[in-house]
Amino acid sequence: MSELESIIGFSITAATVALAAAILLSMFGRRGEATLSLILFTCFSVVFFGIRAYLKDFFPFTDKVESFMTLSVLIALCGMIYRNKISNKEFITLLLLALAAALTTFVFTDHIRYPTAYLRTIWYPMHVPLSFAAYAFWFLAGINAIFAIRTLSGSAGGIQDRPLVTQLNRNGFIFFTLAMLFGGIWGYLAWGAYFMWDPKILWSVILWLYYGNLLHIDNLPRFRKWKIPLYTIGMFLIMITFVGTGFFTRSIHKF
Amino acid sequence: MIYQILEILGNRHAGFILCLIVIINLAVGSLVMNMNPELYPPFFPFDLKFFFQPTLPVHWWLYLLLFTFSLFAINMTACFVESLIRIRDTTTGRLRLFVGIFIHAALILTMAAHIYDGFYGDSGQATLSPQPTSIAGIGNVSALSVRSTHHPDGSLKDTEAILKIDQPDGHATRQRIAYNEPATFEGGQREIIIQGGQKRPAGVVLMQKKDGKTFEMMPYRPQQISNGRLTLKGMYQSQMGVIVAEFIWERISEQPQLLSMALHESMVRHNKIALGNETLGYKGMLEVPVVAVMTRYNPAIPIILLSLLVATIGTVLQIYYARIQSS
Repeated sequence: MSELESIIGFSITAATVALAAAILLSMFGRRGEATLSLILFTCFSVVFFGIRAYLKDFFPFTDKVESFMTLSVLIALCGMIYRNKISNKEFITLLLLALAAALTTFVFTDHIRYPTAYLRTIWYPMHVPLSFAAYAFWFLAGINAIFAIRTLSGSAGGIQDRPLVTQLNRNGFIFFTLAMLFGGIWGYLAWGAYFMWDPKILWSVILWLYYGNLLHIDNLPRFRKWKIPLYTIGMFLIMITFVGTGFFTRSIHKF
Repeated sequence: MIYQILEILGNRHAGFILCLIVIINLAVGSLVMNMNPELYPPFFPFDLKFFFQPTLPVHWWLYLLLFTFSLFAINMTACFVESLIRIRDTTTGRLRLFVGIFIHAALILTMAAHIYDGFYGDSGQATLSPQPTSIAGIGNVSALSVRSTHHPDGSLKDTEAILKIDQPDGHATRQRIAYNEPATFEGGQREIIIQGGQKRPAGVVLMQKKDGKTFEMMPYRPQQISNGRLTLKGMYQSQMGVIVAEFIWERISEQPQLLSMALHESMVRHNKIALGNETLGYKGMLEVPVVAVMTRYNPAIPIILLSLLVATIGTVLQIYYARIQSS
């Protein structure tokens, strides 16, 4: 047990170092080496999750260390998928976000505990990673929007359309819709309600409505100038939903 | 004329703003609830009656939310109908329109279901034992057995219980419930959801020392023994964690005596009682299953199931549309 826990400790440290190396290599334009570093990061993360799954006898997304690491991996994967469609600066910023999530895991004391009875259902692993994948897509959309802020007054109409932002939002929206559907089914089976007045659930509804609403903005000429600022604000809403409700409220989803 | 009305009611710019207002309203509601923990229980389902029994100034955000959500719903419904008309006349971009129609229809259905459930749904708590408990809309429910499994560190893994349900029409069934596996009735509109369960001591098996004969004792069911009457008064858990049975021993022309017996095999000095010239020893415990459950009635389940189907179709179409867009 303690040997496996040591391997977990080593793998999370190695994964974080590999991620930091990928950022540094990207800064110096060493794209090939950065990709290799990210592959190493993914491999160490697989070891981390694999051992935890073995020790917990369940999917390893049930505590705060695993949650932040899952988010980190998904953000990095999202960056790798869209590497050719975004600038190097955007890629580095996204990886910095992934690194911040990975570093956060070191803040907590890591006690590997078995999941509670409520978590032991197939709907849970279908619900959590999908919502984190949505966060990753939306974070990238937000970063893409932040880098577009300086173009706000430059282009002809004062706006650049940034179709990638909409595309990323659409992907995030699909993942989040599926996460909400699976979460709703789980809620009905576990607590008899697919919706409760719980901060995390409420903010998830807020996120879904917010990004669903933003999908319409390309077809609203009068509001298109708000596209970039609203996508930037979206990142703060994700932070509130993920971190704020998890640590600073009386949520049943509290970490 | 109708089309013009639909265009005004379903104005997309207005819809966008209304949606943002609803979002702000929900965020404010979340803050208000978090700031008033004594007023809002940390865990309660979508019960709109809670906000009206009684109406309180602090619930202003909810009343406002109902208003803003209503405006948003009107806008979305008009937009939805207008899209339906538009899809008939258009030949290009139909996939995008279909995605919108399905997702918006799912949202409208979900909102309607929430209102319906919020005002007409119900939830309650019950403790089930072998004695039948009447649960509205389901019948008399009793617990036949309960079993918990644990992780190697002793934490709870799962609890499963077998329930016997005697329905009002005379039909009796047995249902297994466990965490994430409720018993459902009326197409899922009624649920019995487990919240915990254990075996609780209900009586004690005693053995007469002189002849080794055993007999059962249940609370307040006295037995004639050794020219006297023995009654099991009750059982409690001592500070040491040992379950102790209390008996009342009565004989004619004598004061009643209160006697205690530790219900544990290894406590040989304390797991017996003397009744005159007779000694009774502890032989075993009689246990009954006790299951804590939540009962839930949600009449909006058919609407939610329809919404789930529509949302699934919409999401599948959206995946297809996203693939086309990205390629």
